[in-house]
Parts: sequence; C-alpha cells; structure tokens
Amino acid sequence: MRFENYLALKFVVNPRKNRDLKSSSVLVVLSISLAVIFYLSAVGIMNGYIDGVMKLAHEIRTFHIQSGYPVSYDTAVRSVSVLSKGDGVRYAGFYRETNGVLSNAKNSTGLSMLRFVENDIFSKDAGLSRVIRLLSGTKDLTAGSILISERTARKLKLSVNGELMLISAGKSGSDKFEVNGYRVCGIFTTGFAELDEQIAYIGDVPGTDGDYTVYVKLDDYYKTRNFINKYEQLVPVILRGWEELNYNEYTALKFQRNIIVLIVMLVLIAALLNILNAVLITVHEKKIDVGVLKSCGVTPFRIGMVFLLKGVYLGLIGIIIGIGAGLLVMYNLEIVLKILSGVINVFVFVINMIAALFIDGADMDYIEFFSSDFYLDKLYTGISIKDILFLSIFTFMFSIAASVVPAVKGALIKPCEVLKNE
Amino acid sequence: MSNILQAVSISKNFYSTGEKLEILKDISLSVGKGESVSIVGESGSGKSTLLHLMSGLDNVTSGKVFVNGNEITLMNESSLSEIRNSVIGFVFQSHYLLPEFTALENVMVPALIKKFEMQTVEKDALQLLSDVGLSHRIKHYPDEMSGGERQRVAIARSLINKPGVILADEPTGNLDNNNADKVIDLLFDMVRKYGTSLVLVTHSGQIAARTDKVYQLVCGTLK
Repeated sequence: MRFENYLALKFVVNPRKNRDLKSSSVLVVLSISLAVIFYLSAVGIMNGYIDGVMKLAHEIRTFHIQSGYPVSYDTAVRSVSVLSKGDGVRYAGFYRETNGVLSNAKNSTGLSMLRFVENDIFSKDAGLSRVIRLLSGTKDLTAGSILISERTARKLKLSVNGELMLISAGKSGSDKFEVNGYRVCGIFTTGFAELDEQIAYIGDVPGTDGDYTVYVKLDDYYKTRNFINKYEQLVPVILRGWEELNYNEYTALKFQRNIIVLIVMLVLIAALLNILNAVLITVHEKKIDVGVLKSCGVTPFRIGMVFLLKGVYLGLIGIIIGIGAGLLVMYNLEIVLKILSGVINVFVFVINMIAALFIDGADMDYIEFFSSDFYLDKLYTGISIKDILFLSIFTFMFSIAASVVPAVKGALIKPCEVLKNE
Repeated sequence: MSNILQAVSISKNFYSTGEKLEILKDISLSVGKGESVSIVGESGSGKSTLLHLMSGLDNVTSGKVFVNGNEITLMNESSLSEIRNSVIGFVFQSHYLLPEFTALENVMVPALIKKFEMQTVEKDALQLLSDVGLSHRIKHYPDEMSGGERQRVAIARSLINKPGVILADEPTGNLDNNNADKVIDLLFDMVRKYGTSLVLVTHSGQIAARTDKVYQLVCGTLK
C-alpha cells in the first residue's frame, strides 16, 4: 500500500507540466470546497435557527414544564414552593397573562401577550434575563411599570419613562374593556422579531386575583418526563412538558432542516462526482505510465488502488479546505452575505439596464439577503462536531465510490496496447 | 547453458473486422542465461509483439512461453507481475520514464514495487545511475534531460532488480546516430557487467551483429 500511496501522492501533488491533470484536480478540490462551504453555511443557519427558536420557547414561551390550566394565586404560590425544591430545578415561578393592545395617543400595537410577573423576576430567572436583552432603561420592574420590546417602542415612538395604555378585555363575565396606564422602565430585544412584537412584561402586585400559570425550568430539559412523573402528584396542578407543548413546531423545524440537508447534500454529491471525471482524466493521461508500471511488475489491483487513492486525496483536500473556509464563512456570515449581495446587485443593475433598452418599465428588485424586517435580528448559526464528522465521513465514502469506476478502468489497461513504438 | 527465456511454437492472431490476421506463426526460440539475442525485421513484422508475448504483457494465441523455467502462459496476472518485476527488465523505444519522478526515483520504481525500502533502494539506484554516467542528473526530471540521458536512465531502471533478462525494444529508435551508439555501447556494457541476458529488437544489422545470436522475423516466421 505504501507504494500505491507514494504514486498517488505524486500524481496529486506533482502533476508536472500536465495542465489537464492540474486544472482538473484544482477544479475538483475547488468544487468540493465550495459545496462544503455551502453545506456548513446552510446547516449552520438551520441549526442556529432551531436552537434560537427552541431556546426562546424554553425560556419565554412554554418553558420546560408548565401547568396545564390556569390556577389561583394561592395555588400557584403553593405549587412553586414545592416544585422549586425538586431535583435539577433551575427556576420555578408563576405569572399571569392577558391579551391586549398597547397604545399611546397616536399609535397602537397589534394584539400582544402582556405578562404580569414578579417584580424581581429578572434577577431570579437567569435564563429569562439572558434572552431578554436590555437595550435601554432597567429590568427592575415595579407595579405600574412595563418592559417593552424595541419594535413596540419604535411602533409607539416611545423611549424609557414614556407612558402608554394597555387596553385589554375586562374580567371574565364582563363585556367591558379595561384601560390601564403604565410607564416604560426598559426596552429589550430577544433577537426574534416576531416574538418581540408579541410580548411585554409588567410588574405585578403580589396577591392580585387572576389566572396564573406555574412554570419550571430544569438544568437538563431532556429530564422533563421524569420530573413530571415524580412531582405531579405533589402539587395541585397538572404539569406538561416542552416536548408535548412544542412538538409540532419542533418537528416542523427538524423537517425543514432535514430537507435543507438533503438539498445541500445533492449539491455536495454533484461536486464529488467531479472526482470521477478528474480520476478518469488521470487514467487517460497516464495510460502509458500504467503500461510502464505493469511492465515493471505492478499488479492491476495495485494500479487500481493508485487511482482510488488519488480520488480519495482530492476528496480529503477538498473537505479540509472546505471545512476551514466553511467555518470562517459561517462565523462571518453577515459580512459574507453583504459582500455577496453587493456583487449580485451589480449584476442585477447591469441586467436591469440591458432590459430597460428592450422593455418599457423594466424594473428588477435588488436582492437584500438580510432584511431588517426579517424574522431574526441577525443570522444565528450553530454547527456541531457531529455535523462535521457526518460531512467528513460522507465525503470520504463518496470520494471512494466516485473513484471506483476510473480505478477499475485504470487497472484494466493492457500494456501491449499502450506501449507501442512510434 | 540453461534458458532464461524460451518460446515453444507460439502464434499470435489478431482479428480485424472479422478477418483473422496471423502476426506470428509457430515461433520457437530460446535465450540462455547471460546470452544476448537480437531479433531483426521490418517495421510491422511483429518484433514488438513477440517481445510482449515473451514477457507476458500480451497473451499467445497458441504455444508456450517459459521464463526461468516457469510457464508464464498458464499464470494469472498477479504471478505474471511478480515474474516481470523480478526476472525481466524492459527498455522501450521511447524512454517511458514517469514525468512526475526524478531520474533517481524513476530508477527506484521497480525495486520499490518489490519492497518499499527507500534507503536501500536509493543506494542501488545511485550506483546504477553512476554506472550509466548520470550521477550529476539524479534530481532532474525527464523533461529536463536529453533523449540519450533519458534512455540511459531507462537502462538503469531495467537493471535495478538485477533481472535475468532485459528485453530491449528498439532502444535507439528515437535517438540520433551519435547518441544511439553511446546508448547501445552502454547497454552491452551493462548486461555484461551484471551478467544479464539480452533480447534486442532492432532494425540495424550492425547492432544485431554484436549479439551472440541473430534471429530474423519475416512474415511472422523466425529464421
């Protein structure tokens, strides 16, 4: 095997003055690297998106565990005192929620979830405090103060200490609206535009009548089932886990991710098929050398191995460069997208100009890869060692598969047919 | 004198558009150990085909070929490769050196196929390159050498595994007279020095006259 390796490396590293071999090898490495960059970027964005959405779900929306139906203040307090002492509990608390519209004299928001929380919630619930990123003001709530999102503040043209009204449905059984005034104590963002528009936190007065939700956050959210089984009997509420509460959303996100993985894998396979072409070119260019090697005593199997190894080396070089460059791109995705959109828009401009010569009123939209009105405030990315391992093993295996046909072709070359006198 | 190479009634036919072409007919010849033999004949008379059959690079239509007493016509590709590696050395009309390898590496190739021991093989290859007068060219690639120098490297390569016989297929066919004479002199010197048999295919009666035996191939038959 050492001899085959020696030859394969010579063919890859030193294709002396053979432009066809050089350019085909460079092309293969380039196409694989680009496909790997594409794979890492696409999978990284999807992973980051799912992680972000689930993180927000765990910290803000459904938590790890929450009560199945609203309870009174006393029941909530009793339940929390039991649950907060449970195994692996990071935080247990309660809140009450109302739907309503926030408004100042001129503008109003859409229907929002207004959460009445304990005034010191952000100092007690570290997870919540982490995802509610303060932009100005303070997170210290008091009765009558409200923490609103940047988007809400922009819509209502409010800043810290500004005043707004909450218009909400009255107590159950009443057909009247309630209007209450609040002062903005702080402005936050979660990074997820949709969520930002929906939520605001209001300082509550302890003991207020209402429908309370009890919630629990665990150190390890995969242990929710065990926790519920163990503690549900000890509290006067029904407990539900995040898998049950987020099942549809989580499954849909995973499905989207898998479809994207499939698409980028097809691109990678197309790039890897170039190995077949490059090794075939090598076999064609090296016909005489194969004849000479066979006359020197190299067996067909060993000749085949040389070409197989060349294919594998091309794949490996492609993936090493691709992973390095891919990680670099992934962690600087916004800059890369800005540059890319700039370049593409130059083309769009040129096409626009040409189209205007022939078509009246031709107008093309410029491409904005990342709009400020997008769902997220920035592109979150995340790639795991498992993803990189999967990508490496897949590329390696496919490099072997793509090299088999040319390797067999090389092995079957007959020296008497190629070593002919001029 | 025992034979290093023996062909017994070998024939080779080709089929072209359904028509049978008899290239070699019932040829028998033997080459003793340390003996030099030349095969002369016109272009297209089948001289190269005969060499290919005797080395197992091509299959006979009928007959038998023995190398060092072993019948190679019955051997599989793996055993044939071993025989070619250890018993036979080739020198072709074109040098057929590997372009990615230096002169030294080209000479080392047949020995590395047998055993991948760089240092030992390198020592032998350096000695051979010194014998063919190319000590100063060891690091040069084939495209940096003249035709005569490349053919000298090819001769050194054919001898690295100390083969029993060298099959030389018009080794001076691509060289000018001056270089051709030098290469032929070197080839005869080397086979004498290493005690190797030589089967030389050539057009030149003058070169053929230097061998122990001369065979003439006419219309596929040896005379």
